[in-house]
Amino acid sequence: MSADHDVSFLKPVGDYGQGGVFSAQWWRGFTTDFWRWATTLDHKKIGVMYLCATLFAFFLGGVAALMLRAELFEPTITQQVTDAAGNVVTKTTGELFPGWQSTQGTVTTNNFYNRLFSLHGTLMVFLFIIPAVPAAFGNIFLPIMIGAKDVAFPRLNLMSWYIYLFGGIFAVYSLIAGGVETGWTFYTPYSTSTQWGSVTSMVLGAFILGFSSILTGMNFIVTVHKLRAPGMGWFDMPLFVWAAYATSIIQVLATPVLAITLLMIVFERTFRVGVFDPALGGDPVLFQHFFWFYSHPAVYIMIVPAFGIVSELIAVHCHKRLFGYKAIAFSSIGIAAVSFLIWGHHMFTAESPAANVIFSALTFLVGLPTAIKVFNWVATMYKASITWNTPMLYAMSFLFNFTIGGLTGPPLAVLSTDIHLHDTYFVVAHFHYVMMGGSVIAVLGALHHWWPKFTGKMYNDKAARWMAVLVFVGFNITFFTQFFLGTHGMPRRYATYVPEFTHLHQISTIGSWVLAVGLFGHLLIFAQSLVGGRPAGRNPWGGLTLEWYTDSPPIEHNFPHEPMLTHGPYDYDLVVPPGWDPADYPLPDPETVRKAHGH
Amino acid sequence: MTEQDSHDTPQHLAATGDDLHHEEMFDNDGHFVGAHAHAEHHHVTPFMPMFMTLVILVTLTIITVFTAEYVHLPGFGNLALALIIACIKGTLVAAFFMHLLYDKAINTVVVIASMFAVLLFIVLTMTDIGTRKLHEPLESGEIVVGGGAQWVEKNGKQVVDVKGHYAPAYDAAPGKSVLDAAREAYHAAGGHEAAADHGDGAASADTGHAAEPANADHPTEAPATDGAHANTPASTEPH
Amino acid sequence: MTTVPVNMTKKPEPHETYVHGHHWRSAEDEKDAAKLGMWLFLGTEALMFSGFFCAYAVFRMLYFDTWHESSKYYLNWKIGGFNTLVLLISSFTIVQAIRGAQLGRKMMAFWYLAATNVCALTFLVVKLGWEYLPKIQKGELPGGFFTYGHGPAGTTHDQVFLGIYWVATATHGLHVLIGVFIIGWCMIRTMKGHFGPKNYMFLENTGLYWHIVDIIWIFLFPMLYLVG
Repeated sequence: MSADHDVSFLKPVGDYGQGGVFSAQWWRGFTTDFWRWATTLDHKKIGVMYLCATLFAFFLGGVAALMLRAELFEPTITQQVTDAAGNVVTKTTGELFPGWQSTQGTVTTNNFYNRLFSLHGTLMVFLFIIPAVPAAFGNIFLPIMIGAKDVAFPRLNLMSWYIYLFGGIFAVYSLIAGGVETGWTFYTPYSTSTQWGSVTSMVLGAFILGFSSILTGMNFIVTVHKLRAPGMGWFDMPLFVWAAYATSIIQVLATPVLAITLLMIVFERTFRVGVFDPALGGDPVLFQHFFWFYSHPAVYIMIVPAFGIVSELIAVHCHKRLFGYKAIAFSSIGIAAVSFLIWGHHMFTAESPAANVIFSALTFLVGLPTAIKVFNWVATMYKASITWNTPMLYAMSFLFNFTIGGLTGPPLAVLSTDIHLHDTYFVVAHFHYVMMGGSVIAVLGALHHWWPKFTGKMYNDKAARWMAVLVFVGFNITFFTQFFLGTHGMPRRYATYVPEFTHLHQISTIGSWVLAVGLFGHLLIFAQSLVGGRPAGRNPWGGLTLEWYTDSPPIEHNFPHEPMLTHGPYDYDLVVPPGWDPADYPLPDPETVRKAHGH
Repeated sequence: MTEQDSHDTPQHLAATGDDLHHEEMFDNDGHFVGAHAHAEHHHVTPFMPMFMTLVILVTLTIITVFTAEYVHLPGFGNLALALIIACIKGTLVAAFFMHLLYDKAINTVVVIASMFAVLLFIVLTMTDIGTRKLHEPLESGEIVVGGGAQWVEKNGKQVVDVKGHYAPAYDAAPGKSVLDAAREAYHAAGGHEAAADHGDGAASADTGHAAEPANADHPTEAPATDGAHANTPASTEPH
Repeated sequence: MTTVPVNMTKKPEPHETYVHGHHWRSAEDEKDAAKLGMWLFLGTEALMFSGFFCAYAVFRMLYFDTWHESSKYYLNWKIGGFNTLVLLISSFTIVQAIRGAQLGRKMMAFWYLAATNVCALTFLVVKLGWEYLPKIQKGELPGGFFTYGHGPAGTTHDQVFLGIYWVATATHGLHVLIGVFIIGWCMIRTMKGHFGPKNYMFLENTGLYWHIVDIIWIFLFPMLYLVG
């Protein structure tokens, strides 16, 4: 390894001169670094670019969500009132969005609301959650955690990033310029018959994004198979790697079906093929099968990497060997397998009763591996010396929210109750508890956990803890109320509601503001850390996985020498964490530990 | 090539073994040795097996065409035969042309996993769409146009039998269908005038389309429909 | 057995300009990884086409007799059968091209690749000239553009049949077309001497891609032309 590789991957190489931003020399330096990043094959740089892009998508989607909640602050009421002059006039209150004339006709408040929730859903699903963990954190940390220099196919990795960027720009442009009113699910016949907006280009954008997802998944599977460090067997891999591996399997096996589904919509809209069109002998419900065959497994693309993150967070910040390592590892693979069997539970009101019964029964299967994980995490925390820093708070927050999200799943998997709850705010609250309370909280936890590693800077942990509490409280205020709204019959995707729901909606909207303040606070804390954070050192938390053995930020090829594995990823009772003083880290008597673990 | 000579050596067997046993590639000190052990083991494609594969594939194609065009099997017979032959052909291509037979097992695992996902997709989708008619109340006979309920004797009492579902009897004349009874009661109560407000409710009640929910709801003045209505699953109404 | 260099990681192959990627421990590892990656990609191809197969299965079940009649009425099995044979032969020739590279016989690889591309182009020409063009002229187009009057069944069901026929064969044809370009690229690289006994990874993966195109046609042919 040559010496010039032993520098941080974030370190600029361009010659910026002394003239500041306005000098030509600065721009020459900037151009050098810009091209170095744009053409990089380094998995960490690609991961950082993914992270920035996904967080930007999260920001856009979040703004849309805040606007949706603001519109729902008051019900839209149209009534006859007598004005000051004594005339009876029609007055509408509670509408936040103005209507306007477009080239395609009048866009009403309701149209605008439809476009906003479609934008929110599409951005959050396709541009944020699906790539956030696997493509961003997976790219930065998966190769380091298995001791590899890079992913298996670095050029494919860069291509995947550009496909993501291209598809993302395509999608965002369609959503903002033309607008899509179908929701992120693109259900036929509306999506194939509507003349509104830019469904075709949005669908093509999602199609392109799917390719990016497939390529990342392929890359990770091969990386895990072929590039583990010497001595690292399958059960020496950190659980984040197991989770990323399971996710990649889902990505590779499910995403092609999304590709063909979206392509079929394009064919329907342009060539009027008729596969989904009843007027031509097709079947619109077939679309739902096609769509959910991808999109149900996609739910696990979103949550399984979060499981991996939480396993890491709990092990590192409890300084304890994870309880049931193999059970957690296998349950990730189990979830990947079961995820392909249960898509029909999204269609209980559309499919045949026989299929309903089959899918309902299969749906309960997925509770097993998920519960195994939760129980093992809780068992790990039992009698552990827990450090209550921000990542650990997020892990706790995840456990709380995800358990609520998980346990509100069975009412939706039971046929009789689902008929009542179908398409209500109960469903909205359920999947936000899993996706936002689970995945996004885990992403925030991962950001705080690995921020010192990939930036080399420490953040203000005390302030971040307060923000974590705000996020937790805001999130729960926002979405817990929606369970009540749902059970009382508030349907999803409506711009207005009957006045009885006003109070609950207002509480929910206020919660969304608290949530926004918390997230914005995190942004400020990170910005402060980048500018003035103290150096984090190699191993601020005392982790044992391989990423804590390298510099912060990691050097260009991750390790100066090929790492050799000498201990398991969670042997906290046997090994002093790298960079820690043995005096500060008293180990238990090794013989006792060996006996206890049956070595 | 000399590679073929070493095919039966234990080293080769170890190298093509399960990819999961990664540890086997390391010596006691953890040094990587596996790659050297089988660095030269690429398999040179032989000519004859590949040519025979082509011959078999062409033969199978001719058999498919012949059976599909000139042999008429009942029901799904031709379709099943053609698909079975296609599967055999696909397997041959994968095993010989695509080298799966000579490759690492992990590649076969990938193929099997993908094929399993394809099968799941097709079979579970067909389960839904294929069983839809079974439970479509009209087509499965749960609802019969014109009224399918009959008066039957059960435990000494007259009850209405709607394809196995029993409802309490309406004490009209036995032997009539529930709908007929309902229609009579409806007319007796001066239903025509009342029905004028209901739009087409009375008109279609006369033609007897019990499957349409509008008609099941409208003649509610006639108590007889309660029984029939209670036994009619509301599935005709889209949820 | 030939003698094996003790440390492959430090020593590039002597007669190749090609050196395996810096993050691999050996060329063998890289080759295996590329192949595994290719197989994963082939899995995604199969799953992508499974959308057509699934739609086919569903409508074949729903419109059992109609579809059979539509298939007999609109499609000529002789054209499909000819194309099947052409693709099978091309699969064999690309296998032989890989054999040529493995044996270090450059011209053998080149001419077998050329034969493969001739087969691929034959397939496309037959497809376009004898199937697509007459169909477009007659108006036997998918779904909404169907202007042929009433098909044999006199229902809309044969429009769905034509719809699936068009999208499935066109997507497959697109794969063939992409294959023509990749195989052409392989021919150029063969002449430049990129492929030899120790490096034929790209050629082999091209072969794998070409075989999956063949396998998909092996299924599409009986489903659409014979018992459709």
